Amino acid sequence: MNTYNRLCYFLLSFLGLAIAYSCQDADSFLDPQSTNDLNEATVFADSARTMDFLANIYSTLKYEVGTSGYEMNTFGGSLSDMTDESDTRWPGGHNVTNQIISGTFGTAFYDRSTAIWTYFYTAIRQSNIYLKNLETTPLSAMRKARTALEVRFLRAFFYHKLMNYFGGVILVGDEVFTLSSPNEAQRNTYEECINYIVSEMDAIAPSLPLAYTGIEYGRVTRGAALALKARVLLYAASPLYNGGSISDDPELSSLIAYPSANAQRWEAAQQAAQDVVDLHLYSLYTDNETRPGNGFYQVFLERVNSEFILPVMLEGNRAIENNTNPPSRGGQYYRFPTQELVDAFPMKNGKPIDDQASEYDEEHMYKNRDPRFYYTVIYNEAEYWDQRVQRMTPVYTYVGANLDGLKPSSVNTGTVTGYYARKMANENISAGSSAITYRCPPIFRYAEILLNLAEAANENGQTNLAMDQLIALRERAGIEAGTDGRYGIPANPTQHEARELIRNERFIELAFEDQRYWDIRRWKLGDTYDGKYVHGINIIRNGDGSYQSSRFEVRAPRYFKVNSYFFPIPQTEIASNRNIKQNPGW
Amino acid sequence: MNRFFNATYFPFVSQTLHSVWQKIAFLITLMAISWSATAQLATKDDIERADSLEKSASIHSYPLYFKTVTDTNLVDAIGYLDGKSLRNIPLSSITNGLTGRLAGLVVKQDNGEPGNYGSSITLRNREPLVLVDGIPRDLSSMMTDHIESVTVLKDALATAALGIRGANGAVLITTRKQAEKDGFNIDFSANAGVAEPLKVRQQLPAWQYALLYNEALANDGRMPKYSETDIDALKSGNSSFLHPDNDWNKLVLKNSSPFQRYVLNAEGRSDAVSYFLSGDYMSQKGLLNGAEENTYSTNLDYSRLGLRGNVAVALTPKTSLALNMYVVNQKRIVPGGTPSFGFGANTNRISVTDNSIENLFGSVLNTPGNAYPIFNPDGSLGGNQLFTNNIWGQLTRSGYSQTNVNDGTVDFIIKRDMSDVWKNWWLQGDLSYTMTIINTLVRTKGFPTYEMKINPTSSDTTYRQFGTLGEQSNSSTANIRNGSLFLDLATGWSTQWNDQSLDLGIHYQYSNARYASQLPFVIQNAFVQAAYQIGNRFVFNAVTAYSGNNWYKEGYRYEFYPAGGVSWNIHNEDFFGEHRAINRLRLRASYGLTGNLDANYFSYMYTYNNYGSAYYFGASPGAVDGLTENQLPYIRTAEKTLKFNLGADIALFADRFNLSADYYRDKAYDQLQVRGGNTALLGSSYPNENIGKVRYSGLELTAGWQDKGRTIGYFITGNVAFTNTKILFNDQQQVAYPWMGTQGQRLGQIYGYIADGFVTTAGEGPVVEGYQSVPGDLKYKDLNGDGVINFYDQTNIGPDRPMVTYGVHVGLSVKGFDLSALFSGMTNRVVSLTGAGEWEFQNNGKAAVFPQHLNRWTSETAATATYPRLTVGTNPNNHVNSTFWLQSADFIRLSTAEIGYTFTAKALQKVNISSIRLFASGFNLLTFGGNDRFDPETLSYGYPIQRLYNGGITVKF
Repeated sequence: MNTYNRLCYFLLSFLGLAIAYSCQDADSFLDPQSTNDLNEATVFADSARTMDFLANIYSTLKYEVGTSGYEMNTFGGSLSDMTDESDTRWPGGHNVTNQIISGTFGTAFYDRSTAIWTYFYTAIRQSNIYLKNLETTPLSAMRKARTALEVRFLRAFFYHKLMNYFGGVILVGDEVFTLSSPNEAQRNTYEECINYIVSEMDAIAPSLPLAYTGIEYGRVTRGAALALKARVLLYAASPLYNGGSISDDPELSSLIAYPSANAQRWEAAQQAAQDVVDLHLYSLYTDNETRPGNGFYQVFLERVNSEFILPVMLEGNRAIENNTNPPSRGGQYYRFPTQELVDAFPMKNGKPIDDQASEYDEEHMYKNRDPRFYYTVIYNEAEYWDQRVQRMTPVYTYVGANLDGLKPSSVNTGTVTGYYARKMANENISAGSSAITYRCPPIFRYAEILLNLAEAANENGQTNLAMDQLIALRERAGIEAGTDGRYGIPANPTQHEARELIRNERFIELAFEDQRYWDIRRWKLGDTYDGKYVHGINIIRNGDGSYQSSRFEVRAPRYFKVNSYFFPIPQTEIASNRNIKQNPGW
Repeated sequence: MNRFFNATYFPFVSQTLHSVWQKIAFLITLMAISWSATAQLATKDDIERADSLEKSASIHSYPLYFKTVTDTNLVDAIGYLDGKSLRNIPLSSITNGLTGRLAGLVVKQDNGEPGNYGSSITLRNREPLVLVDGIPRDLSSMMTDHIESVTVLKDALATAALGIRGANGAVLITTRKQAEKDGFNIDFSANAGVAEPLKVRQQLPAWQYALLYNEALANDGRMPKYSETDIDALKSGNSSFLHPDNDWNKLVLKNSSPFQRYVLNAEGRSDAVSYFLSGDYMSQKGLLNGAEENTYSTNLDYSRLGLRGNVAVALTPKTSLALNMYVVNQKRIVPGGTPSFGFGANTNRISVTDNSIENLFGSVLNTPGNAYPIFNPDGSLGGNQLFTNNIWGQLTRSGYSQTNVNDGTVDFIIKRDMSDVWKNWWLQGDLSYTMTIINTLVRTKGFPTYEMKINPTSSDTTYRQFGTLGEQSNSSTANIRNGSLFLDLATGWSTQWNDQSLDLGIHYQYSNARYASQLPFVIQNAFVQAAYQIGNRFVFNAVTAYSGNNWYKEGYRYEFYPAGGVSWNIHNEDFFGEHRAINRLRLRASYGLTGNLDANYFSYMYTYNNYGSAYYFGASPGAVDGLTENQLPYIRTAEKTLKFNLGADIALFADRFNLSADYYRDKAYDQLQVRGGNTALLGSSYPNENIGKVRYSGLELTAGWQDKGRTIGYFITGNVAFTNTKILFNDQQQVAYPWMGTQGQRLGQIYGYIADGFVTTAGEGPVVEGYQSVPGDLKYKDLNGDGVINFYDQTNIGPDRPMVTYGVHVGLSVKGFDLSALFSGMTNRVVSLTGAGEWEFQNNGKAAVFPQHLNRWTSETAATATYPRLTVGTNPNNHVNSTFWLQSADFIRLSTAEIGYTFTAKALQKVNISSIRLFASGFNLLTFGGNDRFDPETLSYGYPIQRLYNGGITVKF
């Protein structure tokens, strides 16, 4: 082979290599590929994946009662701490809770407002994607129909949450937006939003199953749909919304309330609550044999019980104990109940503590109270499970007590009110133990329905019907019937007296269930219950082991002004769509 | 010059000019001194100019991207650094060695952790691609001795050939391939030195902490926490268990730590073979204290072994084959947890985050000295409910992890001169493989802390335990496993006629990288470059790349990136005549389009994922996995930048003086960003879209003077870069007031309130909405005049990026002595000093106080206070971003300095030693700027950056 041939050989192989590479590229190297075979088509072509998609929408409910407790993580603070139920552990001004109760709104608060808005609209989008694709899924016709109703319930529930925070919001209907969708919608009026939720519930309730068993337990039932309708209509009939707008601007008014009052809304609310009762599926979980009011304690520990209408389905957990147990029990003591909450509990004879006949003793204020008190609050010398010694021991909250003693409000190492919370906690385990409870905190439970019914009935002049509901609740609570069999409820109260009784009962029965925050607002009673000091108890232990206690004002007076009623619509929304009107005071 | 100081920065203009002038004056003085000193020496010395010096510039050639150009043919805007000047710098990573060397290239040290390449590099305000011998590689694994030269590719012409990766400019490192002249050399160097921390934030002693804590509580209307007795006990230090006062910095940090380095290089050149072989070992101990009880070290410990063999062989007279091989192992030990790693698909860049080191220094800033005793009387670790974590435990009892970063590269290059077929035709093939394997050995464990309680009545001592003693975990993880292939096939041809020449080159490049579980990342790039020159006067260059990446959607993958440029060598014009003084005068201009690759793993596809939140249906809980959609798809294209560059080069007095100036004005468009006009109603987060437009502009100057005689030589070179950026379009939402906008502003601005003095009477404003002010709080300017301070009053308050960066390098050699020093600095940059370490009682009121808090506002010091009244925890009015917390971060630093003496005695040559050099060098030696608590470059919140002193010997055989 001469040089020239060698060269050609070399050259050709070189070029060949190049061509080989280029050809290969065109065919395989640049093919559009993805390691992920999940997409809209594949997900909804598979029944298991479709159900997984639905599970993700359901898990949005965990916001309501997250694994870390009521609206704790997502909200950046507990709604309870923003009412007279409790005070917050965290004194720092950068915490959302503090910004709301001190009225110094900073970045954290505005970010949270945006997060809430985004969270629910994201869930609404997921719901609409589900509904859009449902027809093509291989689910059985029955399951298709049923899950469509479940999703419509969830979507309406998300609007209900949005309305609590923001008033009338933008109803997006069934549309799944794309990047090019126009963004010029106005907020729907309050009335339109209520009508939407109610019409959805009316449409789906008749076809929803009454109950589920086994692995399907926890899905949306007819009772849940009726319960949502009952709550929404009760809110709509309430003073803040029923013609009682806090804004003078008529256009804004109709976004956050009905333009004018109408007493018939109470009738609708009463009927809606009655509809749940008339299902005859639910009853109060009662057990006064084990000990008075044990049913009220036990109901929060059992996944399935007669009282739950819709719970948040969690795995076995120690969430409530972890979050609320006092320091000595290894908990995070996230909330400190107030003296206001303690005082709201009647005596075990059902009489309020300011009633002469109540036998209340300020010196021994924790004696002989409504049994629910003992399942809601840990007070000085209250007994609670101690993992270290494996038995019930007292928790000491007096000033100077080791670990759990009252602390100055500037620190975050223990109670600043003299109390710790224990509502829904399992007293036989503590945060420091490894045991778990298969609890599912309720979104709707029958007790709320009875309170809704009582409130609406009383507004409609049916005071006796209203009082019957309170009597039922108090009977379950383990309060003594009394000689008149009225469980401390006076005979023939006036409508006003009855209203106060109902509000108080709601306060204590539903404490720490994220109801109070919304109740105070819808009653338009921010000035009455909020916007002032909350109180704690300062207990001094004497040398002989006796105590001296005095009430004191915790931290600073709380802020409650017109902008406390609604959250601000996120600034970014208004900046990109000038048709959106901002809420009053923001 | 004013164009660089946008009207918004008016307050900075005078400051900047002032500080720039100060620094220039300083440098001029320095120059004058060195000039007069050397001139004196020089006149005494019988200067006989070496021919080589005169020739050097004109025959000098610069390595560019897959080509080399001579100085005469240079059209591109580049910066060039000879690798020799980087050797002997006592650095684990060369990144810091590039500080202040080249105009427009800015290196900022972010931390001083040995082996954690905590430095960011920017070139003309953007993050450049780092190329080693033409291939993107991680700079941190490069070793200073292996570098032949560093070329910075700045304009479109220099980077257009990079195609889709050219927009940010590039730093091209060329490794040593052979000896400078025929023959062979071996040299061996040994270095040893110490590193010492530069700045640490010292807390106030505990008794002062207690006093200030009480004062802060009183300011908030609360009862004091510390009694007189407590404070006396803290002052006296007699009760170290109940009233401890710990100096955490002293507990954690040593005063100095040693390092050492050994390098053996062999290089040679002959007709048939040329080579460069090198072995390089270094080790640097960290500054952390350790415990004797451990059988292992928990100190941060870094060592590196690098082996390189670059060999080229002439297979036949026309065929050459080169093989460059490089293997480097970097081993790091850190106390406690596992570092996490990031890897840039496009850049091959590794980033390390040391959570355990960050947490450790976080604890140091957030724990007051009296938080707990380090040890209890019974020898156990102290702690309590507030501080369950003991810093000594964190440092010495949480185990350790060891990370091995292994890099290996092989380049295989074959070149054939085809002149026998067609004159001046050549072919070349380059095949390269790069591997990175990072694995971590984790041996962590937990430790308990105990709080001592003494019962006041019985005086019994009890302990409460926090945390548990964990078993040491032993696990090994491969964090990163990557391999990437690079192929370049090229052919070229050149011709000359009369006084003209034409040079053509065509390249096809293919790279295929695999990262973890992802599908291959493939870039194909083909480019043609042509250079035409007439009579050594005009040079025209044109480059066009056609380039794309497979992670983009088909149809959006490939684009053309053309660029062209011209240079005019005026000194070669006839009309210019023979000027003895001016030996080079050249104007250059270039314009072109470059691309930036950011495809984001098939993000054009609409996909779902099963990482959603599970829901536990069932009477007994049964998890149903949550499945949900991923981010909405968007069809991306490459980001693009149109670059314009105008330059001039002047050399005087036989290249003794040289000056280069470059002005650039680049318009970046199709920049990825989330659209401003977004709405949460979409129910999904918005993807990045190709919508942003930014202008980058600036002026860069490099000037130097050098001279060399038989026994004396010296040089002084300086560079300065002025930069400006402007956001031309960012789809900004409508803003209520013009001062709130970001469009039209510079990149990287800080936004906040404008502080307006202290409140003097309670309730005085304007203060943050809803805040009840008391004397000593900050007031702010109410920009919209509505009486309250809220986000409508936030505006652009200062630049976070330097607008002026500069460096000065001076050197002198007299007989055997050599001496050099490099100064570098930045000007017109501010930093926002906030959070733990700056504010008092952070971390929910638990954290420490610092000396600046002594100057706080009190009713007595109202007139002289430089800090607001103290409060416990974050104050919603005072502790927010405002001009009050801005500090100038201007600085000038003596980055490196070196002194050496070379023996070349005849006696040595008898034992085959050609020379011995003894030297001493240092890094971060002097800093002007910042203040006593923070370093202006790093702010000193974490692991401190260090000053290094180094001494060594180099023996040449």
